[in-house]
Amino acid sequence: MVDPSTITTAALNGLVEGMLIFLTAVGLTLIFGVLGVINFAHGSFYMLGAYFTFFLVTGMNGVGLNGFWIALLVVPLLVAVVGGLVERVFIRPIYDYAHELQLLLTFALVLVIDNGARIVWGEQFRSINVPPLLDFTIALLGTPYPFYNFFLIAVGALVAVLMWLMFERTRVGKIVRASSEQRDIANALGINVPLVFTAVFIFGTALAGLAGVLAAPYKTIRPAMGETIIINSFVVVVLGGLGSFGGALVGALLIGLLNGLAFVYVPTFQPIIPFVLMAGVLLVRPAGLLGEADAV
Amino acid sequence: MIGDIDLRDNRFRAVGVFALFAVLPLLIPPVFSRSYLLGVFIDMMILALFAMSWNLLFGYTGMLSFGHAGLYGVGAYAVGFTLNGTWIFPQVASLPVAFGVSLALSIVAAAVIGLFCVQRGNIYFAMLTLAFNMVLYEVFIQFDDITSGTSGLLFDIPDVAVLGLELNPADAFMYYYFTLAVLTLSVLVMWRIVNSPYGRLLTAIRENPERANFIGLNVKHYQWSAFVISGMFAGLAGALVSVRNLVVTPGLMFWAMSAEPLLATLIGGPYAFFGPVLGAVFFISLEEFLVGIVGNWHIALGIILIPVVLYLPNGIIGTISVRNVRSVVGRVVPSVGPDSVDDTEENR
Repeated sequence: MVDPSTITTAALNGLVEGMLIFLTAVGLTLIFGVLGVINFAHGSFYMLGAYFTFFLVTGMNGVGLNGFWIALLVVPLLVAVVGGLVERVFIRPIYDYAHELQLLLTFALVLVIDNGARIVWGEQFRSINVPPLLDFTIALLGTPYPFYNFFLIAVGALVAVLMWLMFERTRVGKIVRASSEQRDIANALGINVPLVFTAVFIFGTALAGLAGVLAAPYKTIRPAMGETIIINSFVVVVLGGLGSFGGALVGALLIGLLNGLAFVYVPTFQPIIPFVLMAGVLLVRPAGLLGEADAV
Repeated sequence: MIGDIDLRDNRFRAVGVFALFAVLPLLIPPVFSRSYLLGVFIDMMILALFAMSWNLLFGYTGMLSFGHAGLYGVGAYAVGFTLNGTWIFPQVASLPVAFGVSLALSIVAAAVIGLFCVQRGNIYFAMLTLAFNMVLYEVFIQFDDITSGTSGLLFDIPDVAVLGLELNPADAFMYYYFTLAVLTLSVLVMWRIVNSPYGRLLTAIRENPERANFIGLNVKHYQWSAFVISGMFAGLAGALVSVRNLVVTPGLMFWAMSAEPLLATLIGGPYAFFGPVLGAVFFISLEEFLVGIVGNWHIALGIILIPVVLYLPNGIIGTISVRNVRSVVGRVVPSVGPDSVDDTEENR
């Protein structure tokens, strides 16, 4: 019953999904950890990233170029610009509000962005091809497996390593951690905390944009794709520990793997597994798998 | 402090409000005899009940539930299964029986789910309710051999003989009065609850769970019982909506549905007893008005909601009422940052 090739494929598919969730969840958890804001609209930035990629790639196809590589560099920046504007105009005034009002405001942003996408771009599913350079399969225990999936996992892993180095080894990382732990003291020490907040928000949305680029050739592009990933990201963030970087990675890969395996072996229960896992972890270990007890 | 806002020490005003609520709605069906418009009023009443049930937790007990659609759906499916003959003999399947089954099941579901959810406070409570909501939603989709999945559970209601006439309770004219009766009764019960010593304890827990704990209240016990009461009314609202549509789909349980009572309440004003009702009327009116203009009305809802949150964070009633000014300042603008948002050490 457990065929090594099937289980490997299922696990790899799960890892791919897990990496996409990681890239969105890590921004979500970072923004929560530093700004204290739960950003419901984070998935919408992922959706924007995928649509921007779609239009860039189809536009460049018209002139005979492959736009994917350009999208990989440009689209996260574009999404970050949108994120920066949103932070300045809408999020900044509500830093001191109760959590429920913050949730409500970012929920309103979801309504505007997602339904804006529905009106402007339509409900129809769209897709782009995998860039030719990555468009081949490699034999895995006798089964051909698309190389693009390995590429996606590698990019996610690279981002994880770079982020870890940035937060643990650089001055920028220290400033961000200081602002997240004691924002008043950080402010008193001369750190421009509002600037840090904006920068973190922009960085987080850029990561969501990057996830959108990577997802574009892999998934169908549609307005509701942000709503799907935001729910998964919430689960991951709570599971791993609110505000915990390592928790987001572990949680995302765990959810991805379990989803991938369950999809093949127990498809009926696959949709409920993440939520059951989250509820179970919350009840036994409320701070999350890797969260610190006083993170919230 | 926020406890000042309820109308208790202003009983004359309360009587006036009740009179308005009692007489005016009775006149609506003869005046607006188009069944489409009656349907809109029915939708308003259902959302009003749903939002009030949600606000019993949020406005009175200080618990943000993101999973009320789950209980709403349980109430709706209970009616569906009773009336389509799955659970009991069709001979005894009448509207009152279906509502009784629905109430009982919502209470049981809320009691079980609540037992888990109240173990953790604040955001964790919200996330746990969301998790249970999504589990219910997915279960009802996955086990489609029983629930008919996404295509929904269809059912019908037998005619009843009233004064020698064969009438169908699902007919808009009759159903309007039925919904009004259910809503009125529920409002009276909720009014009684929030103005009882028990209601005062809930408000105390909202204001400061830690202190309430130190005084000797079993905070979790009260939060749990509030969750069960709230869940019962959410289920009742679901029962009402099932008969309104004569079909029950898992969409009723989707997480976006949990946002509707939340939006209605926050628009109307969470710290006033009738805030959710006002919000529901506003919400449904807005929907009816905007659907005709933009088709996709949710974008307009978002565009309206943003300034509401930014400039009227205590809702319409909270903003109009001068007595609430202190609460606006006290509740919405604490000092700085996430530390100040929750002052409940024990819930961390």
